Amino acid sequence: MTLVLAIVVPLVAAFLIPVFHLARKTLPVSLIGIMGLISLSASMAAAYAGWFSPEVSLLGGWAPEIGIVLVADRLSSAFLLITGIGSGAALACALEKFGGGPWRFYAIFFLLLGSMNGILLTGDLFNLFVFYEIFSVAAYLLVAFSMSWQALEAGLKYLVLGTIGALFILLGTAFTFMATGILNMALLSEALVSVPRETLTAISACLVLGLTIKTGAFPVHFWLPDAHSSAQTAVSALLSGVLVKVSIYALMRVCFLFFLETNGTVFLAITVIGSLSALGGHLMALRQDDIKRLLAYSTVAQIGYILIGVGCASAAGAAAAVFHSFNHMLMKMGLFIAAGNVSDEKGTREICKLTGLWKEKPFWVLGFTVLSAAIVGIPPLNGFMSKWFIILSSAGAGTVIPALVIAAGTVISAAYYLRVLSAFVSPGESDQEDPFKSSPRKVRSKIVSLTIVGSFAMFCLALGIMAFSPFSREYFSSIGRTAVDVGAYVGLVTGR
Amino acid sequence: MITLSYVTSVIIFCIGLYTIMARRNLFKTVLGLALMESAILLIIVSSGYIPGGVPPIEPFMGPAVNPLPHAFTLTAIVIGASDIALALAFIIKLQRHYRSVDLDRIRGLRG
Amino acid sequence: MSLSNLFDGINAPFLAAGLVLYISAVISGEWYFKAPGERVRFRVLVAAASAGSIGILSSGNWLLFVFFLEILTLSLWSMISMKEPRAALVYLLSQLAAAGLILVGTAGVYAHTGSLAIGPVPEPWRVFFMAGFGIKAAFPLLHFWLPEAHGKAPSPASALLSGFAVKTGILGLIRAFPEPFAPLVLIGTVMAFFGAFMAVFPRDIKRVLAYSTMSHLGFMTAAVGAGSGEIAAAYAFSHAMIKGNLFISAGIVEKTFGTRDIFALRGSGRLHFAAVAALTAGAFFAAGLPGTASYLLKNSVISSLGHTAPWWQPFMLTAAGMMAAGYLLNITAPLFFRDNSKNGTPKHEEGGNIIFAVLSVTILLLVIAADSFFPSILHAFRVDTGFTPASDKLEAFIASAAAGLIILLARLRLKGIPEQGLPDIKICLSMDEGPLYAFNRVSGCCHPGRLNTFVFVALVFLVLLMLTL
Repeated sequence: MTLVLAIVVPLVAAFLIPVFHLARKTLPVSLIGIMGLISLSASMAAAYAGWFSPEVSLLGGWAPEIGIVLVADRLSSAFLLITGIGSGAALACALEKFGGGPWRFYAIFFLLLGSMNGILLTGDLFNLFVFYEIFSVAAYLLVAFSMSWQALEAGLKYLVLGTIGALFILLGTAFTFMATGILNMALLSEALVSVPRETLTAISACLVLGLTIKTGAFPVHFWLPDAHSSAQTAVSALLSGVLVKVSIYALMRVCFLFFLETNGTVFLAITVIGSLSALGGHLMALRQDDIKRLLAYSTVAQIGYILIGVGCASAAGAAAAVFHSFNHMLMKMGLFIAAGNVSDEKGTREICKLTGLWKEKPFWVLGFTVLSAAIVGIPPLNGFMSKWFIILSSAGAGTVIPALVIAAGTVISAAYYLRVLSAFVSPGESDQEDPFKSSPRKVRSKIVSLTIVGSFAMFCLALGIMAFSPFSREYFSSIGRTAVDVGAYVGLVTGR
Repeated sequence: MITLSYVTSVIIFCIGLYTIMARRNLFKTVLGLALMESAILLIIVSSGYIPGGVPPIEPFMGPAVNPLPHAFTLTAIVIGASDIALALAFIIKLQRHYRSVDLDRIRGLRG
Repeated sequence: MSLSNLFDGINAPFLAAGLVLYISAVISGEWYFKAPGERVRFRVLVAAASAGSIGILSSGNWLLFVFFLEILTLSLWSMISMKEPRAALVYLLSQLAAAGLILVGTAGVYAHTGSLAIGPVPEPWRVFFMAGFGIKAAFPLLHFWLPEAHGKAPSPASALLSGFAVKTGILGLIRAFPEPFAPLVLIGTVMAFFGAFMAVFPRDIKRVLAYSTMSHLGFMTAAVGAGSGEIAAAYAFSHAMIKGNLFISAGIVEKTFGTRDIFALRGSGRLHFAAVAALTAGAFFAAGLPGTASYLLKNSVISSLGHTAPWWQPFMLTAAGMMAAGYLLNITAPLFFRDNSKNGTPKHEEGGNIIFAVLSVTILLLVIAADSFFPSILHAFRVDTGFTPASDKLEAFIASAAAGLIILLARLRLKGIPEQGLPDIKICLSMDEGPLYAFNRVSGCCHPGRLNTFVFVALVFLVLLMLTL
């Protein structure tokens, strides 16, 4: 029941907001806050339930062969936690920035929340596609929400590429259905073993291509930098921190369930895509002048790291990928919030014009520094440990090149993050400007955003140190073991 | 008959993909999306076809065709419609800003 | 990770070197940095660096080793960027690449053996450790960061860099290759000679010292390759003390006279003897004159190669050792014997504090103490601590003569070199240099035409020739 609630509660909130809007033009912030809290606690309840005892709920009481099932195991729970923390932070930032004014924004936000939980919990391939499309439409709308021409263009680009990706997923689903006649993912993982090789190749090509486009990995990443940089701060953070992770969950779930035993080439392809993404993303980030585009290309690279972990096709690799997903959520959300606030106040996103911030806003710069050190992979922060785990699992899978790519990526990312930081600490124009000319704009202090950035930075430090203890490592490796244990998943769903 | 519909759908799919890649007009891009979608729907619908089957409505008169693909198709049509509606809305907004629907003139964002 | 690791036979010299260097760096930093903010920053960074160093020495597995290496790297990067952000960036990026390579190697070792413990590295993963520690220890071609970082860092930071940070590369090599490993001997030999040769040219005192560090690291690498890690560790200690002294006293000279250019410093010893004396004393010990620790250790390295090594390897090492005397004379002699009246007196800023000059000399005294202290350790592992065996005396003589000739020729030929950077090889060579000129024409495709790359290519060709013979 908790699983159904995790999907239904945010959807109800999404439909209640327009209704409340009819009664009052401006919604009180506390109302949306409470709705957010209830929705998040519903998804946390599902995560909790799924973590300690894997849970299945058959919708309408139909058997898994016919009906739709919702499944929560440790992999889903881990991603529920990631999306929960991430969307909570994004909601808090949005509430601080916009207040209760834009009711449409919040309606779309809750729609997104519900569909994300749907993707993370569903055990049915077609249902996955449906939730994926709700999720995508909500994401397109959020990207274009500010209605500036950049945002509209980015939204359209995202929409076209996202729809192509969705159509490939739909095609893969159609092929799967034609080949086997079932859509339940657990049953499919058994049925696909007996499917002819050529059909399986077509299915895996369609599904992996579609999911890769949705993830934003390198060769088909075009939408990602535009969408992530043109959206508003809270949305950028949500896109980079959370939405990408949901796509990665879908990729992991589908690939591990369907192709782990049947088609090893898929994982080789994912490793190649991941390595290309990591290198390409870093190299493109090096060339950016716009701070948000830089962060967006850095996201492409980090997606590459996660895909390298997934491509290892081992429990260790999956655990490393989940750990890095969690870390990347913390780091990139914090970075986007910090960069967005700083550039909003400076009125520009050009890195070379973001000077003198160390004097004006030391806390923001400090937070940005810690988070960028974490994402570069400086010990003792969490980025170092998650990179180490990915390198370790990659070497364990017998491939060295991805590990070398990660090592090279560290160097490149250090170069471009240092460029940003050196701009931040360099003396600003205001130092030379005469006092009469400068009129400090009164900007509302962003205490909530600052708290989020600060606490994410602390969290990065804590996770980096915790990763050394065998106890917490055991937690993460249990996620990896769940992810690759197809038999347990099938047993869970079918009740055998 | 089935083969014919599969071949048709593959051709339509390729036409759609080509339209998206080759045409610079945003409306044609959307048309391409719609074509691709129709092709996939055609595949799904024809996959449920049984030679000599009857509509799956009670009471059955002989073997009925598989109703599940029809349900999928309906769902996918709804989803596709919302996607295309959204795309058209974006294009209208962009047209008001640029006074054009040509991709070569709408190049605000790099990369 | 355990503190008892600190005191095992190989770590102990590194620990001792670290202790002395960090203390002297803090003290000289107090004097070197004038602004109070800088002083506080430097103190904090030294604390972080020393924590990293203790971590490196006490860690029992490769992951922690890299972990603390990166902490050391970061604090040193921050120290360098107090003066030269660009050189600091090069340093940071190269060290991150090194750490990444070692991490990849470690992951491979773990996949291979199932253990992260520090120890010999199995075959397929050796190349990653070689490359990673090679960047740290400035192997030729991987040394690009070293002259920049050492030359441009604030002097106390240079002392730490040259004294301790690069030695972590040697420590890693000792740990990863405890058995004799021929490629390391080869690399070490080339590196010792290349570093010594490059040290002849620069006019910047600290750049000379940086190349000198590279040359000495070559000796250590050769010792590691010969399988005698204890000699490399002892060498590292002695070299750390000498370079600590040299860099700190170079800092004193720089602060006193406002320049590090040898031409501008001509005759400065007559103006402010105390500032220059420390540098000269350090150079005396570094040159490897008989009776000093570096003399003893250089000879131990050469004799540790044993009779299995081809004849030209000890020969090249001997030549490199002799060239040390040459390039150090190059930077110290003008301080006393050249008259600078033509160029006008150098900028003379009072404040060269004699106490700090004395401090750096006390570091040297430790080296002299080590001279009598380490032979007993060395005796346990090595038989011969005297000069090279009698049969090699002629060879040693020829080597020294060759070294002297090379330096003399190079100085004569490059008299009018420009202030910055090295000249184009075509300017230096003319038709009358017969073989060198011909070689340049032949190898022109392999190098961009700068002197340093030309020398390196020439060395590689020479070594290849020797190997085929």
